[in-house]
Amino acid sequence: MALLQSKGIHLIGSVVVLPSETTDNLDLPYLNQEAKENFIKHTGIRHRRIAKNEDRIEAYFDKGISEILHDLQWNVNEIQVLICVSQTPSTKFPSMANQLHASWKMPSSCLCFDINLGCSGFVYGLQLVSQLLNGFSEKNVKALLCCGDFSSRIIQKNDSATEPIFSDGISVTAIEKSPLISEWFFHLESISSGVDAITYDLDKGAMELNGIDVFQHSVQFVPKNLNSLFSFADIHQEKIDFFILHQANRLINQSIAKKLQSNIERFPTSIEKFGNTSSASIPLTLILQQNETSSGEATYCFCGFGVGFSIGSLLLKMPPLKLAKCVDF
Amino acid sequence: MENNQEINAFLSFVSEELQCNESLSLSTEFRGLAQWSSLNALLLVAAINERTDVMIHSGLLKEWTNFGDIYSYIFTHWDGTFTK
Repeated sequence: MALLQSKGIHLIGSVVVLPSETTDNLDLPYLNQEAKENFIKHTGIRHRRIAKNEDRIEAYFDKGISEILHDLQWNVNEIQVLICVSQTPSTKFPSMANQLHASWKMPSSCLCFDINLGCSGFVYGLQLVSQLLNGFSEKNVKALLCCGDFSSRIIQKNDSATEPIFSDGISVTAIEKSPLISEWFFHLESISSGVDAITYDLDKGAMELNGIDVFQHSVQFVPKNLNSLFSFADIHQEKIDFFILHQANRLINQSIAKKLQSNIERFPTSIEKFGNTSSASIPLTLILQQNETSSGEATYCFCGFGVGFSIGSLLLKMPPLKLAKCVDF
Repeated sequence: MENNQEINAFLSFVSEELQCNESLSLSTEFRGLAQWSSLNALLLVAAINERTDVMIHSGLLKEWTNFGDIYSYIFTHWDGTFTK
């Protein structure tokens, strides 16, 4: 297990960019009414956002970066780290981070690369960003973390195991190294028995998802991961104000909450309106929570889990984000 | 007698979770039920885990045919009871 700690790193703001058109799972043509209602009741997923055929994910990241730089009044020349986490780039290379770096004319000192990860990717990205920022000798070094997928591009039409679950969407998150006090505690794990729970079938050209194995690995290993994180950070879970979990489905997240013996009210959700948005689901849920709850400094636990089977959790205390915005493309 | 009570309690639990109107026995083949679907299989696995802490993975379910297989597995990994 990888229990890691970072200091002096701050989450400043986050923007989520979603397709403007909403799809309703009650309109799925291949399930009867009872099956559709049953699916929505148990997974919690009613509406999803699907990108248009002509949309490119890089254009969504571009819009997210534009919103962040404008609203936070960050100068593009200040960006020293740009990382994209995704499994659905439009092209194999150059990396999306390099494409965005070039189009924004970011400085040559800015390091940029992509990470191939799914639903755990936001936390892995934050861990990597925090380590990289800590390596700079300067203060106030800035980073952008882009996360998300166009999952609809890797899903077979009318596949009832995947199509009603996934949504398209991305996030761009602003992170800064500063002298202010902060401690981030991470727990990153890879559970090899779950490597086949979510795969890509080359013949079909589509994702294959084994719902029972995803449930098994999530419910069996995520609570253990979190309990180890709480011990490492020397905190009791009752002290955590919000658990922002990856939005896999309601059944999984309720089961995790029960295993942790935590009140479900401390688990904000975005799944009913937006479905499973892969690595953008944690920032999306965080943004919605921040816009609904006007609170001061709060203790958060983020946890992403999925394809791999990869689990990443982060415990941090932070003031409200300076920017928490959800926009349509 | 006690075993019959336990079996009936287990079958009643399964029947409730699957919202099944038919009478079930340990020899009932679950794939033959009208209510059996990938979602209902997942819901049953989740309900069993919540009640017994026993986790069933997809490889096991693939090998099994009837509710007796599920019953045997649960009671080799759990010493609780379905009877209320």
